[in-house]
Amino acid sequence: MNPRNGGVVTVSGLLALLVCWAAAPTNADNQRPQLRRPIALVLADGDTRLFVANQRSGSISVIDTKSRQIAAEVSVGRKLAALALTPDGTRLLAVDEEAGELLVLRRHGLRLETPVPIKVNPGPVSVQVAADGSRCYVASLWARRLTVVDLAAGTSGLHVVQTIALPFPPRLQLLLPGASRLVVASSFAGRLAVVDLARGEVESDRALPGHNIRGLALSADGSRLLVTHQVLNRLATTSRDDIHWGNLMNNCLRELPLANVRDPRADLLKDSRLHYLGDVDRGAGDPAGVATTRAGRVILALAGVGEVAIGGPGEGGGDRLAVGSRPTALTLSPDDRWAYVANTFADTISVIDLGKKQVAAEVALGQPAEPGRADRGEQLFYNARLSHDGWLSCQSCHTDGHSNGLLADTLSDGSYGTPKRVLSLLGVKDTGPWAWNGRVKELETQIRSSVQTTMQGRPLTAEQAGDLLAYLQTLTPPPGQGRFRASDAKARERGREVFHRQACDNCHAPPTYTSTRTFDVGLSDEAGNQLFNPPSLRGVSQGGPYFHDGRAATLADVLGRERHQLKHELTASERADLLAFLEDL
Amino acid sequence: MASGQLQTILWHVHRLVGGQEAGEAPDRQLLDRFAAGRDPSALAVLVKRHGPLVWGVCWRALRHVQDAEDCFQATFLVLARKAASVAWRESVANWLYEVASRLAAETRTRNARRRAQERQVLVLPEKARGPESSPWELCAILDEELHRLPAKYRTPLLLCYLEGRTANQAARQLGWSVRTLERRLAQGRQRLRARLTRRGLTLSGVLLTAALSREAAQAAVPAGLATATLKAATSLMTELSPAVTALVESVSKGMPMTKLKLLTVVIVLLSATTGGGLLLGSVTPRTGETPSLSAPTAVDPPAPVRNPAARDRDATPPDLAHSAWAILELVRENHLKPPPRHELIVRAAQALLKTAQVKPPTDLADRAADVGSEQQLRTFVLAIWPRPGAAPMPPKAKLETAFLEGLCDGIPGESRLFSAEALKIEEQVSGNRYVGIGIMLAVNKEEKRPQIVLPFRRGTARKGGAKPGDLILEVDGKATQGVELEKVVGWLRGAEGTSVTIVVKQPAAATTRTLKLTRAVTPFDSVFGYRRASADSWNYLADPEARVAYVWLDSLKSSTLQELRQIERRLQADKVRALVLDFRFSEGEGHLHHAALVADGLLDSALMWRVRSTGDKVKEYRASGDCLFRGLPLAVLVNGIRDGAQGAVLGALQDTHRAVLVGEPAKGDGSVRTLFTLPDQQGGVTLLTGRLERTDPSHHWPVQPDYLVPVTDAQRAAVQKWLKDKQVPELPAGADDRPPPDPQLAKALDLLREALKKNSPPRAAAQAGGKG
Repeated sequence: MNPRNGGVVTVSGLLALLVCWAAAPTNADNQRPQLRRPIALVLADGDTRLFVANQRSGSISVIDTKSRQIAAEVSVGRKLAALALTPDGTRLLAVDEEAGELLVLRRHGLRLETPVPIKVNPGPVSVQVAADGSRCYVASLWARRLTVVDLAAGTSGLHVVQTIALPFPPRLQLLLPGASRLVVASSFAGRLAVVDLARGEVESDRALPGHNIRGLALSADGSRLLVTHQVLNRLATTSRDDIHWGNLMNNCLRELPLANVRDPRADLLKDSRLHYLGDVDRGAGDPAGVATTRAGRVILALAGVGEVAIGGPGEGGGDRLAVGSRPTALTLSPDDRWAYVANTFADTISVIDLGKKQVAAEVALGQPAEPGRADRGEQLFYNARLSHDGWLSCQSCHTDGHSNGLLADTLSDGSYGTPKRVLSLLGVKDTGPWAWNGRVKELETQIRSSVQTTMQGRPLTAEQAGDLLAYLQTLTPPPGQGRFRASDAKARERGREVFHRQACDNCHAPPTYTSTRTFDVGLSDEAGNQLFNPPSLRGVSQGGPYFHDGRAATLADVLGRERHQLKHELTASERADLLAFLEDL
Repeated sequence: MASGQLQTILWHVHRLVGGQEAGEAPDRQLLDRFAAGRDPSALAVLVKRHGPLVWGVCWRALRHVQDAEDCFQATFLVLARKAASVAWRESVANWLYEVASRLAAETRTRNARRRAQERQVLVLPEKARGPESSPWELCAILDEELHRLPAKYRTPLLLCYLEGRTANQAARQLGWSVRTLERRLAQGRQRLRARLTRRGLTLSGVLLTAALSREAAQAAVPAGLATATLKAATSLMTELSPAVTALVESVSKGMPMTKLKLLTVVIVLLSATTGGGLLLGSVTPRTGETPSLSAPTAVDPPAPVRNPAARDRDATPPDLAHSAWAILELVRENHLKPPPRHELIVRAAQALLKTAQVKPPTDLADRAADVGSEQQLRTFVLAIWPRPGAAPMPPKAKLETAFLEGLCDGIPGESRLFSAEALKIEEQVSGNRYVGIGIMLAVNKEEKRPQIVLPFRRGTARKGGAKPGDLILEVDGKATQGVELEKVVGWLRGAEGTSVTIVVKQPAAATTRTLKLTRAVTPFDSVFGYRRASADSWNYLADPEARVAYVWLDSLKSSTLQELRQIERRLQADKVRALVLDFRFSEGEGHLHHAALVADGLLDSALMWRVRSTGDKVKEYRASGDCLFRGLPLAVLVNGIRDGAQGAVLGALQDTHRAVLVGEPAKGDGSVRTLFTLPDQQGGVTLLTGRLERTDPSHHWPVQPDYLVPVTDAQRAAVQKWLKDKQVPELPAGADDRPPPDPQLAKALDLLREALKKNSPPRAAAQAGGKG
């Protein structure tokens, strides 16, 4: 962990070392045992240097691809989420999710200068650089914003040009050819927005049947947008049959005609193609990074099953190679001969010979550290091998601990035929009892049952269940949308009063804004169940849709159209105040 | 084995034993005529009508022309002799089947003795039996199991499948309503399926047919045999072979029909001990409900298989009243139109007393009306329970079954009881995930060893090198010689992922092979293409020029959607522009869930149907925003399929204008049944719980085609044969899989070509042209 002060990087007592390193790369960092969690990578100088952003260690590893050795590792931030290289190859751009910064690192060969941090909107998770290198775009998750940073004026003149509001919590983004449009994908739901960069506004926000979009790329001929994502079928159940035959969860590569993407009025799916990755006995849980060769081959990271798929033109899956644990990002050498894959949990980079379809090497990023309990739990959380045949992981529904916002027909409410909205696990440790009917008194029981009956996996060992529990206990509620606005504190206060006047706190009692009991709030599921445990309202504005069946798309609908448990009608101003209060939670 | 696959066997057996005939007079009338005046034409009609059935039984059991002919003759001679003395039923098919089976068994025993003696003298090695002989073992097992079915189930199977009667003809002959006939037909199928499964013939149906068709030519009644038989039966002057005489005598003297029937009963009870499922125990509603959807015969669970042996051992027998009350409560709470409880209790009591051959008390209805609790039901059952009297008391288990079956017979909407065993099979069938090494197995009686008849297309045994005809010498080091087949099946079975090592050899081979096989799910195809390209692949193009593909859905299973996804990939590679989806002769287990998955797969963001259930609750089924075959014009072929699951899909495709329907009306009535599983693995019961509502209010059940294209019986039969043959992975040499003349397919192709030309979906063409 590298604390920062006033924007000046001080590498916790390693400043002297860093200075040394800037002159001559050293392996000091990679000899220190630590968990690194490589999450993004870029190639530079042809195919000679690979830069890897490490999420956990906040460091950037530099690999000499010829010798396949770590040339250097340097700590630059706290929690890196993405990495990019300017088109002229002179600057690396890393985003630090925890610090809320874009880090600009001037590069001389293997040597990196001290990063220059630019404050962006909180929680940045991805970065794209314009083709001319003049600007970059940083998407911030809970803030739901895109920060546009001017890179043209050199390191001294770096500044934020613009902030663009996004309609959902974003993750991936991709600049479309021509540089005037940027595609942004939701981090959880199946939604794609197109941002008109010239006008600085969202031009379209369209639904994609699916969720968990973890890969965006252009097809070889540039005519199609490739999207990796998952599809959860609410008509299917979590029975073994439905999981076995790929009826419940599918792992997909979707090809969307770029013309549809560009045209805000077009049917996104017209002439699209959906490739189902994986097959019976061989699920392809949680597809992530995707890249294409000039010849049209598609290379895909299958994060949940620790594999990479290499498909021919027009193919979805193709041959599959085992790589390290949780491959997420990948990049191809300019000659399309090699693929480099970041194995996030293995702390390694796999080098794949695309011609021979073999793993040529697995490069360790440094001295490994012994993972703690929660670390092991995190690895299990993202591991689709926990499910029958590798079709899905916990992550497939509880994306990054949150929710995909979809309905799943599990047995946790005692029957099939009663699909319910997937609940967020952010802050889950404080919101017992668990499950919609509040029947589960111990979180560990819910964990075991989810793996066994919802994912149809083998029973967890006591250690595994404990590890998963430890991981879930580290998850904290997301900040409400209101936290990122210059909102009216008085309105929030008035909203709090409305909340109490309406006796919302009967069921949603602070500080967790839930209750240990179940209530009949006039809702009924398909089996006639009417008693539900109130979901916590912490971070409620980042969730949705709302209610057990997702009947309300927005919080405004909950209060407006659904009039959820209102003791008396709200005036327009009361409703606005109450929303301001809820969005601040 | 899916009911569809079983039907295929029966269908092929039917092909094997020959054609249909037109004579409409009931058998009893013909026999009366024959008995009164020795009218040879009456007997001739009977020989023509039932000859193929009898020949099939004899030939399959004996595989020896002379022996089979003797048996055939003897069977009809016995019929002729007894024409005047027996109180005949409407159809004698069942009687003939029993006699022929019995005579064939006798002949076999006699031959075995004789051959043993001959061997001792000649000391000649037995000719090694190649794989081609094995399917006959299966036929023999099929016959044995048919033989063990109670007559009320067997007879409709014989008439409809082995004799090729239509449901109407068979019902008329038996003096039953068509509904009764179809119900018993369905129940018989289910029972037979369960029995074959227990014999290790799970899923074997499809491949059995291949073997059967190979030998079909030999299975017709040999020329001259019918005439010779008629002569023998109508003339006392004919000289009979000693063998025939002996056979006739054996039946006439030693084996009166009553004894035969008793024997059948004993066999049924014995075989039931392997079933073991008891429908007893308390019921918890909402436990694992599985809504299913079907016309009356689509869900055809067997009646509970009872285990008298276990019952007798059990010091505290499970409580009949407890189970019955549980079912009554389920009916009250969940049935769409629950009948009064006392009516069901009366029906149950009547069935019990009828089985015990006791006259019901005159105040039965009054007593039943007083029952208001489980305890009172218990008292009621004790009060009416037959006392030992002059007539021999049937076993307690049989009476209890009668009570529960009577109860269920009284529930409107075709309620059925499932035994635990049947439930398990049903679950595996609908899940299409049998776990095993994927072989069809039979006993090679001469080697006294199990023999692999055929390794299944997607089974691990086939991948691991098992060959048709392989004799299994060892299973995990245990020698198989002389071991019962069921026991060997037990050795071979195990949990998914575990392995089993078998030592096999071809009968003629000198060396053995050791195969290490992993037990895995062995799925069966439910979707097929136009013509088979190889054992593992299909050609889908019905019109290569216009790029119109063709897909036949044999059934709707858990796997169907997955199969369609795979096919889509192939069609994209083939640059297909339009698609015919053939639902004709499609059948299955009638699961609404499977229908929903497939319809959702084919439709894009549309309301598919609503289910209105008990308490006027309405549930909408909506398709998600993705669909298979996006942008392809779709024509769907339909005919008299009665499975409601297919009906639901067809209705949704029609109501949303996704496809144009071509063919003949379907039969499903939109009833939705729910299978309630009973706790403690005690089986389950299906109840009518809802009605399916179409989203286009102008459309009703059953589904009508947009273009009515009638076909002749012969055309329909030819298409059925063509479709069912698709299930056979490797057609016999010289077999022809070209489609027969098919006006319905032709019409669908025309519509699609037209649509492609006009670049508008075929539905618009239907509106323009009116209902064709």
